[in-house]
Amino acid sequence: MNLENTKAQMRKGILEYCILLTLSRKASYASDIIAEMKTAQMIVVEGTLYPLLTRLKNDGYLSYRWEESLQGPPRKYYELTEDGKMFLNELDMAWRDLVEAINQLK
Amino acid sequence: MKKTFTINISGTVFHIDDDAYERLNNYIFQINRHFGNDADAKEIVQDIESRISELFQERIKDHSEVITIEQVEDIVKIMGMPEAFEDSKDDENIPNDEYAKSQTTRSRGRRLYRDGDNRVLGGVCSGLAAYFDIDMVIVRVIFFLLFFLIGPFNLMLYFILWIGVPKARTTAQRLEMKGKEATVSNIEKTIKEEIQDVKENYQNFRANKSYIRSRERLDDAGSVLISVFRAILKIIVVIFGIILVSIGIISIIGLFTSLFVSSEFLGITPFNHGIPHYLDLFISGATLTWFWVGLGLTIGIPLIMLAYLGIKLIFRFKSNNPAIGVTSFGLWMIGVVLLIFTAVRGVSDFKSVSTSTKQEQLTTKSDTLYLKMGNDEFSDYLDSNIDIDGLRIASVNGKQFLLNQPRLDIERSETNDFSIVIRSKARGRDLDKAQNNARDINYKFTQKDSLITFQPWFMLPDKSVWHKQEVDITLKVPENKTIFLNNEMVKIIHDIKNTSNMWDGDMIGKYWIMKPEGLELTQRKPAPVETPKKLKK
Repeated sequence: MNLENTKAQMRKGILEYCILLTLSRKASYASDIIAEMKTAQMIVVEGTLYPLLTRLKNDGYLSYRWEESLQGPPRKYYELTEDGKMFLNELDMAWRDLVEAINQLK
Repeated sequence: MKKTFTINISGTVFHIDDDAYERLNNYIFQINRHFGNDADAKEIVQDIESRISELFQERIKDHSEVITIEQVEDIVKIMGMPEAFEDSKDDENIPNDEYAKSQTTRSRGRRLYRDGDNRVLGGVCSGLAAYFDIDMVIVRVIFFLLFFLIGPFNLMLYFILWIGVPKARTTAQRLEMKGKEATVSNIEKTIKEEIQDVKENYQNFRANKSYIRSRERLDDAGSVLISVFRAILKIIVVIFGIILVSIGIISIIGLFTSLFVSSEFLGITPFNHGIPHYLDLFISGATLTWFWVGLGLTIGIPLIMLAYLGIKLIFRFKSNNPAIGVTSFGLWMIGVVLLIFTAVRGVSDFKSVSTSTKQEQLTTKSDTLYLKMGNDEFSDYLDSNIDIDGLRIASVNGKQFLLNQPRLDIERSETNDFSIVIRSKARGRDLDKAQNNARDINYKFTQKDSLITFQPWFMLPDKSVWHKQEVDITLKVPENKTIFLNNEMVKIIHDIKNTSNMWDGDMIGKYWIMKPEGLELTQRKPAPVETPKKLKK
């Protein structure tokens, strides 16, 4: 068993959850999300984020709007849809179950 | 000093070194290739590009500053290679394990490999099972059952695949072997990949320094066109492969069944008149075997190679094993040499000619001989397809006999008696053999008083082969004696000289008397009888 590999697998599993959590606080654009994910050490390479965002958007959990920026071109701001909020609630519950399960095992 | 370019990433203009440009271009195309071609992919790539643009802006305070290759490397490191973010997309909505399995490898094409991990012999069956995604037991059972259908070709096919199909050695190859299912969407995916490949190659070419100044927009149209052609070509190649395999295998089966089993396969008679069936009547034992081997190799090897090429095209496996080419060419050459050898040997069987002569005195009180043909015992057994200059083949009780008609000539006798000379002629490797062959010819006539019955055929003894055997019969008629040619005699009389210069066909049914000048037509109906039957009294 490779420790890094296992850790990556764990991160991968909850990455969507983390993105939704970040966006539940406020609408953000990709670079903000990346900054948060990086501080939380959730992603190693930034490229990982984009396919995820697109997929969540296609699944109807996210929507985005274009906003002018002071520096450079307009930016894509992502926010949660109603579906996204419901989905996030379910993930919250799943996460609590997981944490509980782990605590019991400890 | 370095050359720089001006590029536009997601709406922002940058100056970039040419090596840095090349690296960045490459990276973006790798990403492009990774995500494919659809609308989603375009969106993802656009987002990534705008992030790259942003990262550059962070690094470059002044817009006159030039992006260096180090900066590009830095950004590639931050964004990550496509392989590094592959993981994030493979486990969406997984219904079951198998789906997951096929998903993890969906960016790979499926290739045929031999599966060394599950092998019994060469891992061919397990490789095929992995390729078609079915249980290897089923493949093995099918292979086993095939043995009853196509017999030894089964083994041949196995060995061809064993030699030709590479073994899966690396993990990547094992994954490729287990690849994805051959569904329509996957075919689409494969073609997509193919297009991306072409694009990438084209892009690399474009990024080449000699080409770099050219306009960019035109290229896209060109590369798409090339890709479409490439995809169509690929489909054609697979269809062509299937055709090759079918032709190859059907003709191999056809060839061998026609050589060894019967002269017909699927209604196709490869050799008219079924001569192969009778070849043992023309070519002697050992030579014949070598002839078969030679023929099998010269025709079979190209057919096998055809089938092999087809399999290669269909399953797109790469094999650069030179042994296959060398071996098959060697075997083919051996086949050709064997054919030449047997031909030379066959010809040398005809080198010498010899004759064997038998003379028989005919004693009869009558001065008229009645000549008639015996019953044609073989008329029902003759192979109606074969008539090589009079040479016929009769099959009696599964045995084949070579038959030919003797030729009858009539000459003046030196003595006062009728006599018959039978001259058998044959060829052979040397005089002795020719002599034996001539002696072996079996020809008979019978005499009953003044009635001579000729057999319509002379026959070659069992197990002897054709050596251009001929039989000439000469009937010697003393002067002033008469002969009568029965109507059926037309079959064997040959160029009989007569004073009326009549053709053979006109000479029958007539009486002929031998005069010093030769045979002369006579109206005399000599006593005592007219028809041969009455003679018996």
